[in-house]
Amino acid sequence: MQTNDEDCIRYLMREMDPSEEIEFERKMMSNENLLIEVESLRSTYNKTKTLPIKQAPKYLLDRVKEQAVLEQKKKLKKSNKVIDWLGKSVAVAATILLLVSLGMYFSALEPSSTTPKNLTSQINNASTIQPWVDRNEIIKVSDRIDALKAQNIGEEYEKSYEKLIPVNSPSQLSKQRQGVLLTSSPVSE
Amino acid sequence: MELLKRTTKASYKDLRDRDLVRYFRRKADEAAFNELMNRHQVKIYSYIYSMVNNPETANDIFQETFTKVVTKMDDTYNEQGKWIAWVMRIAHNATIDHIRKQKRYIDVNSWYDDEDSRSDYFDRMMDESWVDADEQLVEGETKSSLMAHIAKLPEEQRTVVLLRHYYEMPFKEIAELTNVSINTALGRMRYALINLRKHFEEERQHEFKHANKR
Repeated sequence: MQTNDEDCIRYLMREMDPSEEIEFERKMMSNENLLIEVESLRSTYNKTKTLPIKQAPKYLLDRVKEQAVLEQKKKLKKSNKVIDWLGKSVAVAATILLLVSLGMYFSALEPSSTTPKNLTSQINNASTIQPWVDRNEIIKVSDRIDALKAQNIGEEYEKSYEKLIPVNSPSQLSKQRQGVLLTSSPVSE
Repeated sequence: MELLKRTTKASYKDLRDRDLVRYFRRKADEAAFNELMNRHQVKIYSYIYSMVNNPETANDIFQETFTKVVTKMDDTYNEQGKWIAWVMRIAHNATIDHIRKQKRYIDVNSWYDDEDSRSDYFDRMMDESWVDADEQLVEGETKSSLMAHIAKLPEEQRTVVLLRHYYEMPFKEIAELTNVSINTALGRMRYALINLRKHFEEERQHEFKHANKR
């Protein structure tokens, strides 16, 4: 394993793994130049440990603290304002939304097609409509229609009976036509 | 009331940096900020001072650092990370910015003196701190020779030595802070020690000559 220049610094700064450290020390024991180099660097490095500690002047510290707190308070005030503004905006938006939805809900509850006025006009229109019916096959109930119409219907019934032809010789009829014919339609011979 | 105050003060001392930062961010808590300053201001100021070697400049950079700390805290500081490492990065960048500005200023002035010089101005120019340190050494002021020798080191070597000394920063972090690989950071430390050794040797020989003359 070769020793590179950075290993000396890693060893001096105690940035080696324990196993690497042991290996490096073994190398130093077998290589005098490496040992001298490391010890020389160590001696120089130890001198840097006496670098002075400097204290910032008190007036400077006070100024820095004061400014920092003031600045932070300003920032907090600003952010609180933004939060307040956002809160108010959300409240206004929610109110508007609520009002609009309530309006929509109530307007949906009022059925526009069932006003009394519309209802009577519908009824009037209904009386004029004449649906097609097959009068031969319909059963009508007399008490549910007006008397005049009932009379006409009665006459129609009478006429329809007249159209009935008695069957004298049933044998003449085919098997298929045996039975009672309730229709008023003329039987084709 | 006094007891309460004492308890509060003691409890701030027990808190971790990240908790103090949280108090300061959420409540602009002055006591929390004071505690943070008490813990770290010496290291930060010593580092800046050793880099620029001038008390007034160090004061300016120190103040600028904390202005940036407060304004950037909400945007760039992640509470999971070490607060001091983050502050240190700001202090380091502010210091390097200042040193480079000074070098640029010196270079523009010196350009007209020596237009034929082809060497890079970062190599040619001594920075302000170097000049100060050298003058102070000659004038026999109270500044230690170690500070003067440190000031003579190239900026990147000086940075590694000071970060290691004042912060006991691992080389991995030094490498991240200075945007280089770990091996480069280790190499810079090695060259710094070799250069310092050379400076100490020169100083020793100088003293020896003076002693012989007498």
